[in-house]
Amino acid sequence: MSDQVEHARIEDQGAIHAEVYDLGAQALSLIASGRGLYSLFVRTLYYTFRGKRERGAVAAEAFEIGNRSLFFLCVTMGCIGMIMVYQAGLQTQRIVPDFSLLGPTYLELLVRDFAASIGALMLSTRVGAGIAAEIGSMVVTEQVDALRMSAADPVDYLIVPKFLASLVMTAVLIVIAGTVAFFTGFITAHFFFDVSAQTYFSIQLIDAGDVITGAVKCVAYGAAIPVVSGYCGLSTHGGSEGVGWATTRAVVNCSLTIIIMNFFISGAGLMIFKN
Amino acid sequence: MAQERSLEVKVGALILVAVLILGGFIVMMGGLSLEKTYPLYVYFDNPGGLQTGAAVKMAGIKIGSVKELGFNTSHVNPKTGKSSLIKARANIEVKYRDIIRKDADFYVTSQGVLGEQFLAIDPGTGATAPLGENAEVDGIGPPRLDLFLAKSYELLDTTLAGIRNNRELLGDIMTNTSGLLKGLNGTVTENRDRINRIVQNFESLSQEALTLTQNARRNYVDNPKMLRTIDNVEHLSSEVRRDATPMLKDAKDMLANLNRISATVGDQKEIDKLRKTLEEVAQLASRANSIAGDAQSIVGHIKKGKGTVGALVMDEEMYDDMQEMVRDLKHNPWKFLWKE
Repeated sequence: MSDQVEHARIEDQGAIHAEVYDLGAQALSLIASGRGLYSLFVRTLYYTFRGKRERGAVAAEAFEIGNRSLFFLCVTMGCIGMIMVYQAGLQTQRIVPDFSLLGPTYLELLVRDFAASIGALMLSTRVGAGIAAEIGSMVVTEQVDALRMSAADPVDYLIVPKFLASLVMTAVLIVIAGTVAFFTGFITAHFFFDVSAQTYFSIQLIDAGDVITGAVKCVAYGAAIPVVSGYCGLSTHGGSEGVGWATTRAVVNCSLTIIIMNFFISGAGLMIFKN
Repeated sequence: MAQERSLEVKVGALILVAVLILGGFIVMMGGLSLEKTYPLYVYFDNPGGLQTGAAVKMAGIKIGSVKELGFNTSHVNPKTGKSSLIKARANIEVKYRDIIRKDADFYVTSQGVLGEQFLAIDPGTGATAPLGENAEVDGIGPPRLDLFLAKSYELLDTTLAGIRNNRELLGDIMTNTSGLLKGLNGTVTENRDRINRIVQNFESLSQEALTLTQNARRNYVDNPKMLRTIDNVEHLSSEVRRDATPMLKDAKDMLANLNRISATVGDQKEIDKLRKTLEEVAQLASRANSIAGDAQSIVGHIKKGKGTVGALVMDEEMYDDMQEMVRDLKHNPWKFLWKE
């Protein structure tokens, strides 16, 4: 309410003044969010090595993030894989009707970028939203405050098990979902473009740089999803509506983080493994 | 507790599946092969996009991989005389050792249009010995499309600049060429029959020239008479060569004699005598000429059958009568003494 009063007071001083005020306020808010996110990440890393975890907490989170997301991710990546190969095949057919590199190029794309990025984006919609909703509802029902009163850091108790589980299960899910996407792509290539298995299943274009870039992305996305969505959950305010907004912000911020990280990791990968 | 364990088993199973997939993928990518290999060293001026780990293929079958690529300027290609820049170490499976011969070709090619490049081997013929371990050979680099395009671009650029700078001149040339072609076409159309005749004449001329050449060859080249003539000339020249020395010696002697004669006759008195003698000889010759003319006229009379001798020589009847008379006198010698 005080912000609204302050904003009304500023508006009285002129439109341009109000615009500058909004810009400055948003910039400060963004910087504060960045600092909070960084602080949460550092604390998560600290408690990962020094914290005390409840027995079975990581396994339960791993089951929740991994096993329960497996079907969703496989179906999504399988469908996207079929569409990708079909479209690539159509474009190839227009230029050179030679499908000998359809499988190898698609596999290179999957390993280097596609499986990790699309898989993580899909995972963030399910896992990120779930984490933000769970922690946000705990915040609005003051369970997090109760944890703090009990001398239990909510980062150690809530975020770290999810962080560890996500770190492992994101990589696991991406490997499995990528494999599914490659196989569904083969089905499309075989039935629509008569590509044989011997031609399609070729790793001739894959090199160590592709695998390392893909692996780094798996780890980075696996770490980013619980941290970003946990931060959105912990910064929830305003009751059940606030929980809804926290969930939305978690999905948006996770997606944005994944896209930005993809840009930087791919750029670094290209610079390091350009040969 | 059992439920928690079940949860962990499910999570563990999922992780295991992912690890197996990832492990299998990495093993496949590393080209894990239990076959024993032996090294071959191939030198290139420019191996193009050939990379470490690229496949080595023979007749489309993978038989090894490129393990090392590095600079090496110590090797000189005996065919080009230039030092090669890149040395590649290829590890080939031992079971293919006897197939790859010393006259084998090593070249860099690619899988399809966009595929990665690999080292291909044409194994060579069985006439040569197998290429052993650690052999060093010269490879054939991939076609330099980049160089070709760069040079083509330069040529195209120069051509375009030339056209652009000489637009008016080229226009004039085109106009003049067009007029020339039109004029030529008109001339050819008007003189079609004449040109046809010229062509026919030229054809017959060439035919005759051919015949002439064949005859000349037959008569003067392949002819044995000609060969004999050449032999004779050769023989003559050899005779001349042989007799030249004595002839020269004789000529020298003769010249010496002439010198002596001229020295003897060199006096004015002797010269006057000779002149006088020559004049007398000339007179004698003129007389002989007149005598010969008289003799000639006498012979002409005889030939014409004039006079007794002419009748006797030229008249056949008289000759026959004389012959008859002589024969009769032979058979009847008494007729010398007695006339019937």
